[in-house]
Amino acid sequence: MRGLIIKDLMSFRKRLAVVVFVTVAVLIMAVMFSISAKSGNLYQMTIPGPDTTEQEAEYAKEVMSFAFMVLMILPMGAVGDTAKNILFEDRKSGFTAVTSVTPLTVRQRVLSKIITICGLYLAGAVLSIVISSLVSLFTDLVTFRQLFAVVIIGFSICLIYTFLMFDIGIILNGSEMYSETFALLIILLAIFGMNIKNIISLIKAGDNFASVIIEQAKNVTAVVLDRAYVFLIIACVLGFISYFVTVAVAAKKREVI
Amino acid sequence: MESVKNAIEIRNVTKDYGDFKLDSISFDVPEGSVCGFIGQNGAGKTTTIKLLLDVRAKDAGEIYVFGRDMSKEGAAVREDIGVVFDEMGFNEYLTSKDINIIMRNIYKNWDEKAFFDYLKRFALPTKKKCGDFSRGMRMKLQIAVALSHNAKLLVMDEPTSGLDPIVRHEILEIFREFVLEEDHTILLSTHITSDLEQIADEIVFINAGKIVLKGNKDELIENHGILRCKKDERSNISDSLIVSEEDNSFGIQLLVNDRSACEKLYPKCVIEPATIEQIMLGYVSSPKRG
Repeated sequence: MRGLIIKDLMSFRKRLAVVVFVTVAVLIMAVMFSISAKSGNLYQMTIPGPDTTEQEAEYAKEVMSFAFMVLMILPMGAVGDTAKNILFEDRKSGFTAVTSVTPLTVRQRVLSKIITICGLYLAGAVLSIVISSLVSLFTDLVTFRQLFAVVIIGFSICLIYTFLMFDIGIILNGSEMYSETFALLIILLAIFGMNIKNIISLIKAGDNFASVIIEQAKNVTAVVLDRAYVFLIIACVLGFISYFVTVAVAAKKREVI
Repeated sequence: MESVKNAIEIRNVTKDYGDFKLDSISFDVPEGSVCGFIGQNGAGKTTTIKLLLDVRAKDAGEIYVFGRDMSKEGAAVREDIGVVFDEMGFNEYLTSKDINIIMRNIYKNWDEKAFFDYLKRFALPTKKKCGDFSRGMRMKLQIAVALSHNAKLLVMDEPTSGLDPIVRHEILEIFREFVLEEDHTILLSTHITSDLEQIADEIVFINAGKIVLKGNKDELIENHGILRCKKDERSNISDSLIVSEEDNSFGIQLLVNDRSACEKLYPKCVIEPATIEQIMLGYVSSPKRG
Protein backbone atom coordinates (compact mmCIF):
# COMPACT_ATOMS: atom_id res chain seq x y z
CA MET A 1 0.00 0.00 0.00
CA ARG A 2 2.87 2.34 0.81
CA GLY A 3 4.12 1.83 -2.73
CA LEU A 4 0.87 3.16 -4.19
CA ILE A 5 0.91 6.20 -1.93
CA ILE A 6 4.49 6.90 -2.97
CA LYS A 7 3.52 6.53 -6.62
CA ASP A 8 0.65 9.00 -6.24
CA LEU A 9 2.88 11.45 -4.42
CA MET A 10 5.34 11.16 -7.30
CA SER A 11 2.63 12.48 -9.59
CA PHE A 12 2.64 15.58 -7.40
CA ARG A 13 6.24 16.32 -8.45
CA LYS A 14 5.17 17.49 -11.87
CA ARG A 15 2.86 20.07 -10.27
CA LEU A 16 5.43 21.31 -7.77
CA ALA A 17 6.41 24.30 -9.91
CA VAL A 18 2.75 25.35 -10.19
CA VAL A 19 2.26 25.05 -6.42
CA VAL A 20 5.37 27.11 -5.70
CA PHE A 21 4.28 29.71 -8.26
CA VAL A 22 0.73 29.95 -6.84
CA THR A 23 1.99 30.11 -3.26
CA VAL A 24 4.50 32.88 -3.97
CA ALA A 25 1.96 34.75 -6.10
CA VAL A 26 -0.70 34.51 -3.39
CA LEU A 27 1.75 35.68 -0.74
CA ILE A 28 2.83 38.69 -2.80
CA MET A 29 -0.75 39.54 -3.80
CA ALA A 30 -1.99 39.23 -0.23
CA VAL A 31 0.76 41.48 1.14
CA MET A 32 0.15 44.08 -1.60
CA PHE A 33 -3.58 43.76 -1.01
CA SER A 34 -3.26 44.33 2.72
CA ILE A 35 -0.84 47.26 2.31
CA SER A 36 -3.20 48.85 -0.21
CA ALA A 37 -6.18 48.20 2.10
CA LYS A 38 -4.31 49.85 4.97
CA SER A 39 -3.04 52.95 3.25
CA GLY A 40 -3.35 52.72 -0.54
CA ASN A 41 -6.02 52.90 -3.23
CA LEU A 42 -8.16 50.18 -1.64
CA TYR A 43 -8.11 52.12 1.61
CA GLN A 44 -9.54 55.15 -0.21
CA MET A 45 -12.50 53.05 -1.31
CA THR A 46 -13.37 52.23 2.30
CA ILE A 47 -13.59 55.88 3.40
CA PRO A 48 -16.94 57.65 2.94
CA GLY A 49 -16.46 60.81 0.88
CA PRO A 50 -18.06 63.00 -1.78
CA ASP A 51 -18.24 60.07 -4.27
CA THR A 52 -18.69 57.25 -1.78
CA THR A 53 -21.58 56.81 0.60
CA GLU A 54 -21.06 55.21 4.01
CA GLN A 55 -22.91 52.11 2.88
CA GLU A 56 -20.76 51.80 -0.27
CA ALA A 57 -17.63 52.10 1.83
CA GLU A 58 -18.95 49.35 4.09
CA TYR A 59 -19.68 47.13 1.06
CA ALA A 60 -16.18 47.74 -0.28
CA LYS A 61 -14.73 46.50 3.02
CA GLU A 62 -16.91 43.38 2.90
CA VAL A 63 -15.99 42.60 -0.71
CA MET A 64 -12.31 43.06 0.09
CA SER A 65 -12.48 40.68 3.03
CA PHE A 66 -14.25 38.05 0.85
CA ALA A 67 -11.57 38.43 -1.80
CA PHE A 68 -8.90 38.09 0.84
CA MET A 69 -10.41 34.91 2.18
CA VAL A 70 -10.73 33.36 -1.27
CA LEU A 71 -7.09 34.20 -1.95
CA MET A 72 -6.04 32.14 1.05
CA ILE A 73 -7.44 28.87 -0.27
CA LEU A 74 -5.69 29.10 -3.65
CA PRO A 75 -2.45 27.39 -2.51
CA MET A 76 -4.51 24.50 -1.16
CA GLY A 77 -6.36 24.28 -4.47
CA ALA A 78 -3.05 24.10 -6.33
CA VAL A 79 -1.86 21.16 -4.19
CA GLY A 80 -5.27 19.51 -4.27
CA ASP A 81 -5.46 19.56 -8.06
CA THR A 82 -3.19 16.49 -7.99
CA ALA A 83 -5.44 14.77 -5.46
CA LYS A 84 -8.58 15.00 -7.53
CA ASN A 85 -6.89 13.42 -10.53
CA ILE A 86 -5.14 10.46 -8.96
CA LEU A 87 -7.86 7.95 -9.77
CA PHE A 88 -8.30 8.99 -13.39
CA GLU A 89 -4.60 9.38 -14.05
CA ASP A 90 -4.10 5.68 -13.24
CA ARG A 91 -6.92 4.68 -15.55
CA LYS A 92 -5.53 6.74 -18.41
CA SER A 93 -2.02 5.34 -18.04
CA GLY A 94 -3.15 1.77 -17.39
CA PHE A 95 -1.61 1.70 -13.92
CA THR A 96 -4.90 0.26 -12.64
CA ALA A 97 -4.03 -2.89 -14.60
CA VAL A 98 -0.58 -2.95 -13.01
CA THR A 99 -1.88 -2.64 -9.44
CA SER A 100 -4.61 -5.21 -10.02
CA VAL A 101 -1.97 -7.91 -10.57
CA THR A 102 0.12 -6.98 -7.53
CA PRO A 103 -0.38 -8.61 -4.12
CA LEU A 104 -2.43 -5.59 -2.99
CA THR A 105 -6.05 -6.20 -2.08
CA VAL A 106 -8.88 -3.97 -3.27
CA ARG A 107 -9.20 -2.67 0.31
CA GLN A 108 -5.54 -1.61 0.33
CA ARG A 109 -5.82 0.02 -3.09
CA VAL A 110 -8.88 2.09 -2.08
CA LEU A 111 -7.36 3.02 1.26
CA SER A 112 -4.13 4.16 -0.38
CA LYS A 113 -6.08 6.52 -2.65
CA ILE A 114 -8.09 7.96 0.23
CA ILE A 115 -4.95 8.45 2.35
CA THR A 116 -3.23 10.19 -0.58
CA ILE A 117 -6.23 12.44 -1.24
CA CYS A 118 -6.47 13.44 2.43
CA GLY A 119 -2.70 13.83 2.71
CA LEU A 120 -2.38 16.09 -0.30
CA TYR A 121 -5.27 18.33 0.76
CA LEU A 122 -3.91 18.42 4.30
CA ALA A 123 -0.52 19.53 2.97
CA GLY A 124 -2.30 22.21 0.95
CA ALA A 125 -4.31 23.28 3.99
CA VAL A 126 -1.16 23.57 6.11
CA LEU A 127 0.40 25.71 3.36
CA SER A 128 -2.69 27.93 3.27
CA ILE A 129 -2.71 28.24 7.08
CA VAL A 130 0.98 29.23 7.14
CA ILE A 131 0.33 31.91 4.52
CA SER A 132 -2.80 33.04 6.38
CA SER A 133 -0.87 33.42 9.61
CA LEU A 134 1.81 35.49 7.85
CA VAL A 135 -0.68 37.62 5.97
CA SER A 136 -2.93 38.23 8.99
CA LEU A 137 -0.05 40.21 10.51
CA PHE A 138 -0.41 42.83 7.77
CA THR A 139 -4.17 43.34 7.65
CA ASP A 140 -7.17 44.38 9.69
CA LEU A 141 -9.64 43.22 7.04
CA VAL A 142 -9.80 39.69 8.42
CA THR A 143 -8.52 37.97 11.54
CA PHE A 144 -6.36 34.84 11.56
CA ARG A 145 -9.27 32.98 13.15
CA GLN A 146 -11.47 33.85 10.18
CA LEU A 147 -8.77 32.86 7.69
CA PHE A 148 -8.22 29.61 9.57
CA ALA A 149 -11.94 28.86 9.37
CA VAL A 150 -11.94 29.63 5.64
CA VAL A 151 -9.06 27.19 5.08
CA ILE A 152 -10.86 24.49 7.09
CA ILE A 153 -14.03 25.03 5.07
CA GLY A 154 -12.06 25.05 1.79
CA PHE A 155 -10.25 21.87 2.87
CA SER A 156 -13.55 20.17 3.76
CA ILE A 157 -15.31 21.19 0.54
CA CYS A 158 -12.34 20.06 -1.56
CA LEU A 159 -12.42 16.70 0.24
CA ILE A 160 -16.18 16.36 -0.22
CA TYR A 161 -15.82 17.22 -3.92
CA THR A 162 -12.96 14.75 -4.42
CA PHE A 163 -14.70 11.93 -2.52
CA LEU A 164 -17.81 12.47 -4.63
CA MET A 165 -15.69 12.38 -7.79
CA PHE A 166 -13.98 9.25 -6.51
CA ASP A 167 -17.29 7.54 -5.75
CA ILE A 168 -18.85 8.48 -9.09
CA GLY A 169 -15.66 7.36 -10.85
CA ILE A 170 -15.76 3.95 -9.18
CA ILE A 171 -19.45 3.22 -8.70
CA LEU A 172 -20.59 4.47 -12.10
CA ASN A 173 -17.22 3.86 -13.74
CA GLY A 174 -17.47 7.45 -14.91
CA SER A 175 -14.85 9.36 -16.85
CA GLU A 176 -12.96 12.25 -15.29
CA MET A 177 -15.14 14.90 -16.93
CA TYR A 178 -18.35 13.03 -16.06
CA SER A 179 -17.32 12.56 -12.42
CA GLU A 180 -16.15 16.16 -12.07
CA THR A 181 -19.37 17.52 -13.53
CA PHE A 182 -21.60 15.39 -11.34
CA ALA A 183 -19.61 16.08 -8.17
CA LEU A 184 -19.80 19.80 -8.86
CA LEU A 185 -23.49 19.56 -9.61
CA ILE A 186 -24.18 17.74 -6.33
CA ILE A 187 -22.27 20.37 -4.34
CA LEU A 188 -24.01 23.24 -6.15
CA LEU A 189 -27.39 21.64 -5.53
CA ALA A 190 -26.55 21.24 -1.84
CA ILE A 191 -25.50 24.91 -1.59
CA PHE A 192 -28.64 25.93 -3.49
CA GLY A 193 -30.80 23.82 -1.15
CA MET A 194 -29.22 25.30 1.97
CA ASN A 195 -29.72 28.84 0.69
CA ILE A 196 -33.16 28.55 -0.85
CA LYS A 197 -34.66 31.07 1.59
CA ASN A 198 -31.93 33.61 0.83
CA ILE A 199 -32.38 33.11 -2.90
CA ILE A 200 -36.14 33.74 -2.65
CA SER A 201 -35.60 36.93 -0.65
CA LEU A 202 -32.99 38.04 -3.21
CA ILE A 203 -35.50 37.56 -6.02
CA LYS A 204 -38.00 39.63 -4.06
CA ALA A 205 -35.43 42.34 -3.23
CA GLY A 206 -35.95 44.33 -6.46
CA ASP A 207 -34.00 47.63 -6.29
CA ASN A 208 -32.41 46.66 -2.97
CA PHE A 209 -30.67 43.68 -4.60
CA ALA A 210 -27.12 44.95 -3.89
CA SER A 211 -27.71 45.73 -0.23
CA VAL A 212 -29.64 42.48 0.35
CA ILE A 213 -26.95 40.33 -1.25
CA ILE A 214 -24.18 42.00 0.75
CA GLU A 215 -26.18 41.65 3.95
CA GLN A 216 -26.89 37.98 3.22
CA ALA A 217 -23.27 37.30 2.36
CA LYS A 218 -22.23 38.88 5.68
CA ASN A 219 -24.71 36.77 7.62
CA VAL A 220 -23.92 33.53 5.80
CA THR A 221 -20.19 34.13 6.16
CA ALA A 222 -20.54 34.80 9.89
CA VAL A 223 -22.60 31.64 10.41
CA VAL A 224 -20.39 29.49 8.19
CA LEU A 225 -17.13 30.71 9.70
CA ASP A 226 -18.44 29.95 13.16
CA ARG A 227 -19.33 26.42 12.11
CA ALA A 228 -16.38 25.40 9.99
CA TYR A 229 -16.16 22.17 11.97
CA VAL A 230 -19.53 21.04 10.55
CA PHE A 231 -17.99 20.95 7.06
CA LEU A 232 -15.06 18.98 8.40
CA ILE A 233 -17.39 16.46 10.04
CA ILE A 234 -19.36 16.06 6.78
CA ALA A 235 -16.09 15.51 4.88
CA CYS A 236 -14.92 12.88 7.40
CA VAL A 237 -18.25 11.03 7.31
CA LEU A 238 -18.23 11.09 3.50
CA GLY A 239 -14.66 9.82 3.57
CA PHE A 240 -15.70 6.80 5.64
CA ILE A 241 -18.74 6.13 3.45
CA SER A 242 -16.56 6.50 0.35
CA TYR A 243 -14.11 3.95 1.65
CA PHE A 244 -16.67 1.26 2.47
CA VAL A 245 -18.82 1.82 -0.62
CA THR A 246 -15.91 1.90 -3.04
CA VAL A 247 -14.30 -1.18 -1.49
CA ALA A 248 -17.57 -3.10 -1.90
CA VAL A 249 -18.14 -1.86 -5.45
CA ALA A 250 -14.52 -2.27 -6.57
CA ALA A 251 -14.38 -5.81 -5.17
CA LYS A 252 -17.47 -6.70 -7.17
CA LYS A 253 -16.79 -4.82 -10.40
CA ARG A 254 -12.99 -5.26 -10.47
CA GLU A 255 -10.55 -3.34 -12.62
CA VAL A 256 -11.94 0.03 -11.51
CA ILE A 257 -9.09 0.82 -9.14
CA MET B 1 6.28 -42.51 -10.27
CA GLU B 2 6.03 -38.94 -9.02
CA SER B 3 2.93 -37.17 -10.30
CA VAL B 4 3.31 -33.95 -12.26
CA LYS B 5 2.64 -30.85 -10.17
CA ASN B 6 0.61 -28.19 -11.87
CA ALA B 7 1.43 -24.52 -11.50
CA ILE B 8 -1.97 -23.61 -12.95
CA GLU B 9 -5.20 -25.57 -12.81
CA ILE B 10 -8.27 -24.14 -14.51
CA ARG B 11 -11.46 -26.15 -14.07
CA ASN B 12 -14.71 -25.48 -15.96
CA VAL B 13 -14.31 -21.73 -15.81
CA THR B 14 -17.12 -19.73 -17.32
CA LYS B 15 -17.51 -16.02 -17.86
CA ASP B 16 -20.45 -14.61 -19.76
CA TYR B 17 -20.31 -11.04 -21.09
CA GLY B 18 -23.48 -11.36 -23.10
CA ASP B 19 -21.80 -10.82 -26.46
CA PHE B 20 -18.93 -13.15 -25.58
CA LYS B 21 -18.77 -16.24 -23.42
CA LEU B 22 -15.81 -18.10 -22.05
CA ASP B 23 -17.42 -21.49 -22.11
CA SER B 24 -16.43 -23.85 -19.31
CA ILE B 25 -12.75 -23.94 -20.12
CA SER B 26 -10.33 -26.30 -18.41
CA PHE B 27 -6.60 -26.78 -18.72
CA ASP B 28 -3.50 -27.32 -16.61
CA VAL B 29 -0.01 -25.92 -16.90
CA PRO B 30 2.61 -28.23 -15.40
CA GLU B 31 5.20 -26.68 -13.11
CA GLY B 32 8.48 -25.97 -14.87
CA SER B 33 6.97 -25.72 -18.33
CA VAL B 34 6.37 -22.99 -20.89
CA CYS B 35 2.77 -23.04 -21.98
CA GLY B 36 1.82 -21.22 -25.14
CA PHE B 37 -1.71 -19.90 -24.98
CA ILE B 38 -2.77 -19.26 -28.54
CA GLY B 39 -5.82 -18.06 -30.33
CA GLN B 40 -6.88 -15.29 -32.63
CA ASN B 41 -7.75 -11.81 -31.39
CA GLY B 42 -10.95 -11.88 -29.36
CA ALA B 43 -10.76 -15.63 -28.73
CA GLY B 44 -10.70 -15.15 -24.95
CA LYS B 45 -6.98 -15.20 -24.12
CA THR B 46 -6.91 -11.94 -22.18
CA THR B 47 -10.18 -12.76 -20.40
CA THR B 48 -8.75 -16.11 -19.32
CA ILE B 49 -5.59 -14.44 -18.05
CA LYS B 50 -7.58 -11.86 -16.10
CA LEU B 51 -9.72 -14.59 -14.55
CA LEU B 52 -6.61 -16.59 -13.76
CA LEU B 53 -5.11 -13.64 -11.90
CA ASP B 54 -8.44 -12.96 -10.16
CA VAL B 55 -8.47 -9.50 -11.69
CA ARG B 56 -11.93 -10.28 -13.02
CA ALA B 57 -14.55 -12.36 -11.24
CA LYS B 58 -15.53 -15.64 -12.89
CA ASP B 59 -19.15 -16.77 -13.14
CA ALA B 60 -18.36 -20.42 -12.43
CA GLY B 61 -15.48 -22.84 -12.11
CA GLU B 62 -12.29 -23.08 -10.10
CA ILE B 63 -8.82 -21.67 -10.58
CA TYR B 64 -5.79 -22.85 -8.63
CA VAL B 65 -2.29 -21.45 -8.85
CA PHE B 66 0.37 -23.45 -7.02
CA GLY B 67 -2.54 -25.41 -5.56
CA ARG B 68 -4.07 -22.30 -3.95
CA ASP B 69 -7.57 -21.12 -4.74
CA MET B 70 -7.26 -17.76 -6.52
CA SER B 71 -10.70 -16.56 -5.51
CA LYS B 72 -9.73 -16.90 -1.84
CA GLU B 73 -6.00 -16.27 -1.82
CA GLY B 74 -5.53 -14.28 -5.02
CA ALA B 75 -3.73 -11.30 -3.50
CA ALA B 76 -1.24 -13.47 -1.61
CA VAL B 77 -0.59 -15.78 -4.57
CA ARG B 78 0.11 -12.79 -6.83
CA GLU B 79 3.27 -12.21 -4.79
CA ASP B 80 4.68 -15.20 -6.72
CA ILE B 81 3.35 -14.18 -10.12
CA GLY B 82 5.05 -11.83 -12.56
CA VAL B 83 2.72 -10.34 -15.14
CA VAL B 84 3.52 -8.69 -18.45
CA PHE B 85 0.80 -7.03 -20.49
CA ASP B 86 0.94 -5.98 -24.11
CA GLU B 87 0.85 -2.34 -22.99
CA MET B 88 3.05 -0.80 -20.30
CA GLY B 89 0.83 0.49 -17.51
CA PHE B 90 3.30 2.74 -15.73
CA ASN B 91 2.53 6.44 -15.66
CA GLU B 92 4.62 8.19 -18.26
CA TYR B 93 6.33 10.54 -15.81
CA LEU B 94 7.86 7.66 -13.83
CA THR B 95 11.51 6.71 -14.28
CA SER B 96 12.91 3.23 -13.75
CA LYS B 97 14.32 4.46 -10.42
CA ASP B 98 10.84 5.59 -9.36
CA ILE B 99 9.40 2.22 -10.35
CA ASN B 100 12.00 0.51 -8.17
CA ILE B 101 10.94 2.64 -5.19
CA ILE B 102 7.24 1.91 -5.81
CA MET B 103 7.70 -1.82 -6.32
CA ARG B 104 9.96 -2.37 -3.32
CA ASN B 105 7.12 -0.99 -1.24
CA ILE B 106 4.57 -3.30 -2.87
CA TYR B 107 6.32 -6.67 -3.20
CA LYS B 108 7.72 -8.36 -0.10
CA ASN B 109 10.29 -10.20 -2.18
CA TRP B 110 11.38 -7.29 -4.34
CA ASP B 111 14.98 -7.73 -5.39
CA GLU B 112 16.41 -4.30 -6.07
CA LYS B 113 19.73 -5.67 -7.25
CA ALA B 114 18.06 -8.00 -9.72
CA PHE B 115 15.94 -5.13 -11.05
CA PHE B 116 18.93 -2.88 -11.70
CA ASP B 117 20.84 -5.82 -13.19
CA TYR B 118 17.99 -6.37 -15.64
CA LEU B 119 17.88 -2.65 -16.46
CA LYS B 120 21.60 -2.78 -17.18
CA ARG B 121 21.25 -5.90 -19.23
CA PHE B 122 18.36 -4.42 -21.24
CA ALA B 123 20.28 -1.13 -21.60
CA LEU B 124 17.36 0.75 -20.05
CA PRO B 125 18.14 4.21 -18.65
CA THR B 126 17.31 4.70 -14.97
CA LYS B 127 16.62 8.42 -15.06
CA LYS B 128 14.65 8.74 -18.29
CA LYS B 129 10.86 8.96 -18.05
CA CYS B 130 9.33 5.70 -19.22
CA GLY B 131 6.87 7.67 -21.35
CA ASP B 132 9.83 8.45 -23.61
CA PHE B 133 10.72 4.77 -24.00
CA SER B 134 10.24 2.91 -27.29
CA ARG B 135 7.79 -0.01 -27.38
CA GLY B 136 10.65 -2.50 -27.04
CA MET B 137 12.05 -0.64 -24.04
CA ARG B 138 8.61 -0.52 -22.41
CA MET B 139 8.21 -4.29 -22.78
CA LYS B 140 11.68 -4.85 -21.36
CA LEU B 141 10.87 -2.62 -18.40
CA GLN B 142 7.72 -4.64 -17.69
CA ILE B 143 9.69 -7.87 -17.96
CA ALA B 144 12.37 -6.49 -15.61
CA VAL B 145 9.63 -5.70 -13.06
CA ALA B 146 7.99 -9.11 -13.51
CA LEU B 147 11.29 -10.90 -12.97
CA SER B 148 12.51 -8.86 -10.01
CA HIS B 149 10.26 -10.07 -7.21
CA ASN B 150 11.28 -13.73 -7.31
CA ALA B 151 8.15 -14.77 -9.15
CA LYS B 152 7.73 -18.48 -9.82
CA LEU B 153 5.13 -17.98 -12.52
CA LEU B 154 5.28 -15.55 -15.40
CA VAL B 155 1.97 -14.74 -17.05
CA MET B 156 2.33 -12.76 -20.24
CA ASP B 157 -0.26 -11.38 -22.57
CA GLU B 158 1.17 -10.76 -26.03
CA PRO B 159 4.57 -9.62 -24.73
CA THR B 160 6.31 -9.84 -28.09
CA SER B 161 3.66 -8.38 -30.38
CA GLY B 162 4.82 -5.34 -32.30
CA LEU B 163 8.47 -5.92 -31.43
CA ASP B 164 11.27 -6.25 -33.95
CA PRO B 165 12.86 -9.71 -34.36
CA ILE B 166 16.04 -8.79 -32.49
CA VAL B 167 14.19 -7.58 -29.38
CA ARG B 168 11.84 -10.56 -29.60
CA HIS B 169 14.78 -12.93 -29.73
CA GLU B 170 16.35 -11.18 -26.74
CA ILE B 171 13.14 -11.45 -24.74
CA LEU B 172 12.65 -15.12 -25.60
CA GLU B 173 16.19 -15.72 -24.40
CA ILE B 174 15.26 -14.21 -21.02
CA PHE B 175 12.23 -16.50 -20.81
CA ARG B 176 14.43 -19.50 -21.54
CA GLU B 177 16.74 -18.51 -18.70
CA PHE B 178 13.77 -18.06 -16.39
CA VAL B 179 12.53 -21.60 -16.90
CA LEU B 180 15.95 -23.08 -16.25
CA GLU B 181 14.89 -23.08 -12.60
CA GLU B 182 12.79 -26.20 -12.38
CA ASP B 183 9.93 -24.66 -10.39
CA HIS B 184 9.58 -21.71 -12.76
CA THR B 185 6.63 -21.71 -15.14
CA ILE B 186 5.51 -19.47 -17.99
CA LEU B 187 2.07 -18.95 -19.46
CA LEU B 188 2.62 -17.06 -22.68
CA SER B 189 -0.36 -15.76 -24.56
CA THR B 190 0.47 -14.88 -28.12
CA HIS B 191 -0.56 -15.15 -31.70
CA ILE B 192 3.03 -15.16 -32.89
CA THR B 193 3.31 -18.91 -33.20
CA SER B 194 6.94 -18.87 -34.27
CA ASP B 195 7.85 -17.72 -30.74
CA LEU B 196 6.10 -20.75 -29.32
CA GLU B 197 7.85 -23.11 -31.68
CA GLN B 198 11.08 -21.89 -30.13
CA ILE B 199 10.24 -22.06 -26.44
CA ALA B 200 6.89 -23.70 -25.64
CA ASP B 201 6.52 -27.13 -24.07
CA GLU B 202 2.73 -27.11 -23.92
CA ILE B 203 0.11 -25.53 -26.14
CA VAL B 204 -3.40 -24.50 -25.22
CA PHE B 205 -5.46 -23.29 -28.13
CA ILE B 206 -8.58 -21.26 -27.51
CA ASN B 207 -11.13 -20.28 -30.12
CA ALA B 208 -14.38 -18.36 -29.61
CA GLY B 209 -14.23 -18.89 -25.84
CA LYS B 210 -13.63 -22.64 -26.02
CA ILE B 211 -10.49 -24.69 -25.65
CA VAL B 212 -10.18 -26.55 -28.93
CA LEU B 213 -6.80 -28.12 -28.49
CA LYS B 214 -4.33 -28.65 -25.67
CA GLY B 215 -1.32 -30.80 -25.06
CA ASN B 216 2.39 -31.22 -25.45
CA LYS B 217 3.69 -29.07 -28.30
CA ASP B 218 5.94 -31.73 -29.79
CA GLU B 219 3.13 -34.27 -29.69
CA LEU B 220 0.75 -31.85 -31.37
CA ILE B 221 3.24 -31.14 -34.11
CA GLU B 222 4.05 -34.85 -34.38
CA ASN B 223 0.40 -35.84 -34.65
CA HIS B 224 -0.80 -33.19 -37.04
CA GLY B 225 0.23 -33.06 -40.65
CA ILE B 226 -0.47 -31.37 -43.95
CA LEU B 227 -1.68 -33.88 -46.49
CA ARG B 228 -1.72 -32.86 -50.14
CA CYS B 229 -3.72 -34.84 -52.67
CA LYS B 230 -5.60 -34.50 -55.93
CA LYS B 231 -9.25 -33.55 -55.82
CA ASP B 232 -10.39 -36.98 -56.95
CA GLU B 233 -8.38 -38.62 -54.14
CA ARG B 234 -10.17 -36.64 -51.42
CA SER B 235 -13.11 -39.04 -51.18
CA ASN B 236 -10.71 -41.87 -50.21
CA ILE B 237 -9.57 -40.06 -47.09
CA SER B 238 -11.44 -40.70 -43.86
CA ASP B 239 -13.31 -37.64 -42.55
CA SER B 240 -12.39 -38.48 -38.98
CA LEU B 241 -8.74 -37.72 -39.76
CA ILE B 242 -9.41 -34.35 -41.33
CA VAL B 243 -9.41 -31.15 -39.30
CA SER B 244 -9.75 -28.74 -42.21
CA GLU B 245 -9.28 -28.60 -45.93
CA GLU B 246 -8.31 -26.02 -48.47
CA ASP B 247 -8.66 -26.14 -52.24
CA ASN B 248 -5.92 -24.73 -54.40
CA SER B 249 -4.97 -24.89 -58.07
CA PHE B 250 -2.81 -27.98 -57.52
CA GLY B 251 -5.39 -29.98 -55.62
CA ILE B 252 -6.45 -30.18 -52.00
CA GLN B 253 -4.49 -29.45 -48.85
CA LEU B 254 -5.77 -31.11 -45.68
CA LEU B 255 -4.82 -30.63 -42.05
CA VAL B 256 -4.94 -34.12 -40.54
CA ASN B 257 -4.91 -35.03 -36.88
CA ASP B 258 -3.05 -38.33 -37.12
CA ARG B 259 -0.06 -38.04 -39.39
CA SER B 260 1.31 -41.56 -38.83
CA ALA B 261 -2.09 -43.12 -39.55
CA CYS B 262 -2.36 -41.11 -42.76
CA GLU B 263 1.13 -42.13 -43.84
CA LYS B 264 0.13 -45.78 -43.46
CA LEU B 265 -3.32 -45.45 -45.00
CA TYR B 266 -2.43 -43.15 -47.89
CA PRO B 267 1.17 -43.87 -48.85
CA LYS B 268 0.77 -42.18 -52.23
CA CYS B 269 -0.18 -38.82 -50.71
CA VAL B 270 2.39 -36.22 -49.70
CA ILE B 271 2.25 -35.65 -45.94
CA GLU B 272 4.38 -33.04 -44.21
CA PRO B 273 4.62 -32.03 -40.55
CA ALA B 274 2.35 -29.09 -39.71
CA THR B 275 3.54 -25.95 -38.00
CA ILE B 276 1.69 -24.52 -34.98
CA GLU B 277 0.42 -21.76 -37.22
CA GLN B 278 -1.01 -24.24 -39.71
CA ILE B 279 -2.61 -26.20 -36.89
CA MET B 280 -4.12 -23.02 -35.45
CA LEU B 281 -5.39 -21.87 -38.84
CA GLY B 282 -6.82 -25.32 -39.50
CA TYR B 283 -8.85 -25.33 -36.31
CA VAL B 284 -9.98 -21.73 -36.72
CA SER B 285 -11.00 -22.02 -40.37
CA SER B 286 -14.49 -23.16 -41.22
CA PRO B 287 -15.21 -26.86 -40.62
CA LYS B 288 -14.03 -29.33 -43.19
CA ARG B 289 -15.85 -29.23 -46.44
CA GLY B 290 -16.54 -32.51 -48.13
